[in-house]
Amino acid sequence: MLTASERALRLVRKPGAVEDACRFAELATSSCDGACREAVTLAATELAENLLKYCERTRGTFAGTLSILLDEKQVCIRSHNAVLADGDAEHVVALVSRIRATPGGARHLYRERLRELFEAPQLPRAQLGLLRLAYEGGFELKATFERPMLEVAAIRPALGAE
Amino acid sequence: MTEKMDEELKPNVPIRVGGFRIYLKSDSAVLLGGRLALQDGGREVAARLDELHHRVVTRKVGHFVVDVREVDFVNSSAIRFFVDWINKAKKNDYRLSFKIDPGVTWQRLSFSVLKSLAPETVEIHSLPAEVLEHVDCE
Repeated sequence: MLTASERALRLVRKPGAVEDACRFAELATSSCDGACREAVTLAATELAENLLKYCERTRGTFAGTLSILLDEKQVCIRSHNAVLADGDAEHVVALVSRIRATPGGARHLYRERLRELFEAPQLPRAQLGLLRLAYEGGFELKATFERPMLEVAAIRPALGAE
Repeated sequence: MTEKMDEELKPNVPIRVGGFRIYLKSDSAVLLGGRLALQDGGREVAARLDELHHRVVTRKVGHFVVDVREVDFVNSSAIRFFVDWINKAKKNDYRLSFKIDPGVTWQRLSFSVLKSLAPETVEIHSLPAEVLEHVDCE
């Protein structure tokens, strides 16, 4: 029987930071099945990339914190950081609300976003990360923004956890 | 989005960009492998895929095969590289066939949606992992 365990990683802006997040996810989910590990690695990578791209820059190289809470039923991966621009955080909160409010929304919204990128290749940002977490990873997403801190949580069953 | 690259892609000469591998098997087929995240040379990979597109157009290849079964993971930016490539293939009137491993979640789910962007341009072939051809890069 798995007991609840939580691990945290302080992510810093440096070469190899995303790889650090991947290794962190793999270690934290080593008792889970392949699909769960694959999903959490996806989430760790996308959330880490978002931390590195959108974190506030006056705290040295510190970008934010990734944490993973695993118990026998579910896994929750969470990112927590101060944001560079309020608009970025507000976009995240709005997108998560939209995913949660759209029935069967993840695939539909992912397809819709790919269609937008297909029809407008000049759009500057892909903004697919959270949609992939919901669609490919099967995560339920939550997001809160209390200036300047943004927290994103991604939760899914920990199938195969022993 | 072009980075300086030392050499152009040539058949049977695999190259590595960070953790990502590109192996042009012939004028009409490429094998991709490894993983691609933010710090793995995404811009150079984008430039290499663009190079492949121009190669296909220049050589008037009507049907190009992209084997992604050895790609363990790509970030969102890389998904966009495939969106852009499909767009260019459609505009230049050639077809792209992606070989995917249905056991890899991102390949199975993302390519089913990518095909829907241009069904007349994109083919998806789900193939068992045991027929994979492994390629070592220098």
